[in-house]
Amino acid sequence: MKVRAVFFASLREAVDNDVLDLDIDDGANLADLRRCLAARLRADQMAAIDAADVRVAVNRRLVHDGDESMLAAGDEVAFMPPVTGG
Amino acid sequence: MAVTVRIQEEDFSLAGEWEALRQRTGGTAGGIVAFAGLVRERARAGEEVSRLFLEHYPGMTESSIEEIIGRARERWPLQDVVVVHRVGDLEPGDQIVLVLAASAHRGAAFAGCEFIMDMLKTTAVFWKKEVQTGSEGTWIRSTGDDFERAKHWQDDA
Repeated sequence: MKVRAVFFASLREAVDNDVLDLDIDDGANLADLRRCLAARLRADQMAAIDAADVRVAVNRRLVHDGDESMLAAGDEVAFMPPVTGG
Repeated sequence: MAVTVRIQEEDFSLAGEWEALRQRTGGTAGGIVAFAGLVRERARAGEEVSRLFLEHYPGMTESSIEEIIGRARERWPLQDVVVVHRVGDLEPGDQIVLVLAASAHRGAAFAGCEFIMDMLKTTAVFWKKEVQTGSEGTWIRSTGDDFERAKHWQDDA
């Protein structure tokens, strides 16, 4: 199934892309998506994505089940470094 | 209860937003508290003047602000709230954020406005980059003071 990974701010710069379209197995979860990304990206890029302070949102909602979070076809998975507004 | 959340590159008019809110409340509000945030010059002596670049996640950023306003409404009887947040390239002295909070009594309006602003600093979905001429720039993180201010609202709850 096709899913889309999107990256913001420092992660967008680290990955050199704001969007990566990926093809992963049906029934895949967030951990599977990370494995798919790891096959395409360098180790330092994956380290940035996997950093403890990076939050993940699926279809603009923060995930609460960590890497167990199930994905569906067409999902947009956002990797977000620490935010600051105002 | 009216809630207005806008993310935009263009500048905003505090007077215009204020007047529109005042008209909406139709005599029921006892006061409006306004906070307008400005881009502060951060460069130290001898450094080039810096500017800011703000990035957001369309859809999710608006939701994060609406959630903050919802939490404020659970705590104080706010009649009308406006949040306008700019994104893109900003210079020192530019307006960056506007928060308006109207209530029947001033206590709720002051507290609601301050709460929303403190939460915008730590939980709203924005990323800020400080850029000096000739440099790649640095992504800014919330400061210890930002987190302290956000935390004191939890301690109060």
